[in-house]
Amino acid sequence: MDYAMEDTQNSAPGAPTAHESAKLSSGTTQATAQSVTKRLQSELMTLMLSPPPGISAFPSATSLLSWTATIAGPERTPYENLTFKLSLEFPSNYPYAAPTVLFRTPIYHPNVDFSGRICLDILKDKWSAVLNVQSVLLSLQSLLGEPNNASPLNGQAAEFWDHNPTEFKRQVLLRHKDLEDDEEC
Amino acid sequence: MEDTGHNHMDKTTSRDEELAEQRRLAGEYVPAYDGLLVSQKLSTELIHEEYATGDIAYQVKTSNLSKDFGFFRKIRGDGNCGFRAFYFGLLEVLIELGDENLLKAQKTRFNEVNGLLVRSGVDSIIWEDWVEATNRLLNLLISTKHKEERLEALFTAFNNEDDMSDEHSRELLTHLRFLISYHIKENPEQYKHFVPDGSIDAYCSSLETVSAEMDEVSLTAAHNMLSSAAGINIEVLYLDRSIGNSVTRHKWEPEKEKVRGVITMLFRPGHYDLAYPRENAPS
Repeated sequence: MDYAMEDTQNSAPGAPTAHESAKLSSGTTQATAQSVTKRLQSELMTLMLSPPPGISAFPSATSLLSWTATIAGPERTPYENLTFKLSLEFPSNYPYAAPTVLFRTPIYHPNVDFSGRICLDILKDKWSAVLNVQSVLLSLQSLLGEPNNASPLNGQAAEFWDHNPTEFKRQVLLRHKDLEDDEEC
Repeated sequence: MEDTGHNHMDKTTSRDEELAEQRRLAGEYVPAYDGLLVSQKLSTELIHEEYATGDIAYQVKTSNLSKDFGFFRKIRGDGNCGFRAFYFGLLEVLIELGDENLLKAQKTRFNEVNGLLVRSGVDSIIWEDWVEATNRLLNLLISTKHKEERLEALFTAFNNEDDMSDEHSRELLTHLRFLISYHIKENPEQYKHFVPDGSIDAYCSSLETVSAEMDEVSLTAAHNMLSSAAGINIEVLYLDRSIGNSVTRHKWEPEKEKVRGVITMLFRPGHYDLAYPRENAPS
């Protein structure tokens, strides 16, 4: 790990502010734009200091542009009590372009295909520079409980969601498989 | 840190990951433009030549256009062209007026409207770089002493979209985009009759997406916030297939101040460039 978070990730009470961590990193990130580094480190700091319920995200050991996230299935949905791992890949012009987000945990959902690809407008043409890791993950969490069945990637799932909740739930549990740690990206 | 993003793909890499990587690269692909983001001043004869074999309505209008407007700047059409033309045009006009105090006043004006970002409730880590980009550019222009050098600095700043650069034109344009959106949200009464279905929320959330084009409502908001009080007029020349032999001209007047200068924007459906009148041309 060659960015500045290494020494600070287990020390939240005395953790440096976003500004300080951005300063710490300067000069160590020749290949990545300063602005994307600063922005992602600030986001990471915010997520660590005040993590939203049911959501976590952290960069990989090798690149600040490559994160792994976890979201908990919302209560009172077929995804209740399940957790899902995702990968987020940030382009070098983030936040002026959306990250590429994939479900790593196999998931049965109308707007996710069998490779984990997601159909969500804010990850495509509705991306905006004020969106961030947290808002993306919260949107995905609500997508679990409120699929967009008008344009499904998985037509059968859309059909079952609308007309056969019992079978939908059965498919969700059938498809779900917790990833081993070494399977994480 | 690896610059290619490939290094972390070791032997555990699955086919899915390779596909994801390919998709990521494809998503980043931007077509190669030969041109600059904002070009040097070019003869408007070039616009006329573009239509030499085209629609007769355009041939007549572009011929007449070059009689009154000798030059134009080509603005890259990447969804930011309207914002880019307005922001560049505003600072260019202020520089051309040759009074350092006008640049200082414009910096103050930006810092006043930055209150919109604070009041929006959006975390400052998201917008502080945009504010800084604008302040850095205005400080540079103010501290540069000669008009020609100022114009050169402005040109460089707006043509710089290198990720490693300090003058980050994307940050400048995103700053303007969100100032406009938050200004409209704070003044719904002023704009609600001009947006589709009267829905400010829908209009602004669409305006905030990365490649949403400027339109007349957002141009009006930009003028009300940033150019009107500076005594700068905006004039838009509409080059389209409407009836007539010349471009349709529409002006946004300053509200109170006397007119000090004019930003002339040449509009073709879906695209804005900047245009420059010939001296002694009718206004």
